[in-house]
Amino acid sequence: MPEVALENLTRRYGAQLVVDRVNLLVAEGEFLCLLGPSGCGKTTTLQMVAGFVEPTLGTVRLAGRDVSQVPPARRGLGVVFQSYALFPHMSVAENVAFGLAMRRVPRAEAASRVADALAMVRLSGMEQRYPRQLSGGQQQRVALARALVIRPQALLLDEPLSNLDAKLRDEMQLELRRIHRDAGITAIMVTHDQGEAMALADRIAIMNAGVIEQVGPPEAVYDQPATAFVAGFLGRTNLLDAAMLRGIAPAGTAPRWSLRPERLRITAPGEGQLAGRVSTRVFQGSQTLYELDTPLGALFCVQGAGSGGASEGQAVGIAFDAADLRPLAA
Amino acid sequence: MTTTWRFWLLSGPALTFYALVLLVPLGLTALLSLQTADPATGAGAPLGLHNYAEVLSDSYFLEIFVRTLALALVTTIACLLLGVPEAIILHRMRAPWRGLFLLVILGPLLIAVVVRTLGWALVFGPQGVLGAAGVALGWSREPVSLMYTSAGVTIALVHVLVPFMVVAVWAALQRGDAQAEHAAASLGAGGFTIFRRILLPRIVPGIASGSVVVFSLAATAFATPAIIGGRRLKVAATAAQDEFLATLNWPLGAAIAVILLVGNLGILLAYDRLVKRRFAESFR
Repeated sequence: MPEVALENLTRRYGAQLVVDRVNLLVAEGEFLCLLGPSGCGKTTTLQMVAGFVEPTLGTVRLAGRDVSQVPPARRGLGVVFQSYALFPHMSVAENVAFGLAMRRVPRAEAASRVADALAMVRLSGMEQRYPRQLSGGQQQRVALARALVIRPQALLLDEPLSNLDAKLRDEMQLELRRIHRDAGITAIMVTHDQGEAMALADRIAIMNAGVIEQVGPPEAVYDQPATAFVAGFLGRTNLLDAAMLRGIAPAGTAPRWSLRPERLRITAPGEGQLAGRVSTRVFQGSQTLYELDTPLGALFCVQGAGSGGASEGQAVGIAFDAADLRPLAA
Repeated sequence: MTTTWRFWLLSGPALTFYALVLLVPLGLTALLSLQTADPATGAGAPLGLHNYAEVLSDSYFLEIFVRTLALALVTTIACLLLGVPEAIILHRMRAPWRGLFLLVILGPLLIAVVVRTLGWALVFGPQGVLGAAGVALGWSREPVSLMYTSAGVTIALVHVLVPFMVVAVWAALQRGDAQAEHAAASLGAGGFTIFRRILLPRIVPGIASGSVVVFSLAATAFATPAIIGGRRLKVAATAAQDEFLATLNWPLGAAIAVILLVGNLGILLAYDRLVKRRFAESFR
């Protein structure tokens, strides 16, 4: 039985359709990322699952039970907010214990559960601190501990890492993966960061303009984007019209095709399917990014370290496998 | 230029201004309160505490001070009961409405005090709207008048002072993290618990500063008690004016004014300490 199910979930603000008939099944123990640009409706979707926003239409089911009319306080979900939303006048221990106090968990049991939760997020010894005395990363951990200590049916994360600096964000990604694995909990995370989504999610649901465009494991969504939006949003890609490909590659019936930059190979002039010239070369350490002038227009190409390479202005040949051309729906 | 020098230079004009218009008159009033009334010269030697002794031992003045205190206290409580929910509702309103209703709330402050109070006199008087409505609705046989009553003075004071409470609480609401209420709800807290444990600690600094402003303005209010309360319902401020302009006992009026000031300060400092101790974490 799926743990969280969204059925035709829709939210309208006046004339504006913010979330449009979203259907999604999140399996027990799965980590699903709702990925999309800001304003695509992903946060509104999450807030409908949490119960903060009432759906205009549609149903939210937790373990098969329709909770659309259940207030957030009785949904039993753990929510982590972008701003952390810690209670500033309560200590770390009081923050984490809040949900247990609401559930009338006996004092002794609550104390040991708070200690376990803080140990899980590696904040043991910080019990008596106040939120203002903690760094952003530590506040984030308190928010996680507070959401997990109530043993929620599912964990909802709203852009949990976007307020952290880059280095801390990478650390917290690993931490989140570990915590998710250890707790074995169903999780839905909203993010606009495709790297974060690919690093954390079992499956990614990509939203655009209130609609889910594609759902699948990160590799599948990356390698086989269904639409031009997905191809462009999830990493860098080259979008090619079917008409341009005629005579170069055996194209199918799709009107547009995606060709990932790392699938292109720079070869000696005269070799490969295309002739081109390097217009820009950007060294990025583990790889090098090229912008190539070709008869198909400007193409991006990424070459791994140690693959030789070409300098700016140099004429080159460009090779790719026709199988790496991915058909797009629109 | 050293920092100290710049500090004095920048705060100099304001300090001079305050010294001239606040400290000097205050000092003169305090001095006057120690003098003795004289029918020929107004006031003069000998100096002493006899005016204070007279005010504090006379049941007439004591009643006035108790009434002033009670009026200020009831007004503050009424402003709390009205202003706090008002601020919370205002905070939750959306764009065009919020500005509009803020203007409505601040409205009383835009009207001159005498005009506003005379407006209330029209409502409260025996020929007033309130009395007529009471008769029309069958609540009373005779038209009820709130003129020269504590209730009338309190209503008129609350009307003008509630904006101070709303603005103070609203400012406190703006500072906190709005998501904290959602977080508390997701953790299982009901509406009342969220108010008591999340919202209240957040707005306590606003409640404290709002109460201080409302209480001190109510305790020292002059025009409203003078017009609505009249001579029958004297408060400290109108009694002091009476001593100065009617009885011509300036030193006694000055003593009343000084007692009002010191009493007001004492009550507010005690209140401030009490709130800050009880809600220590809200003030960090």
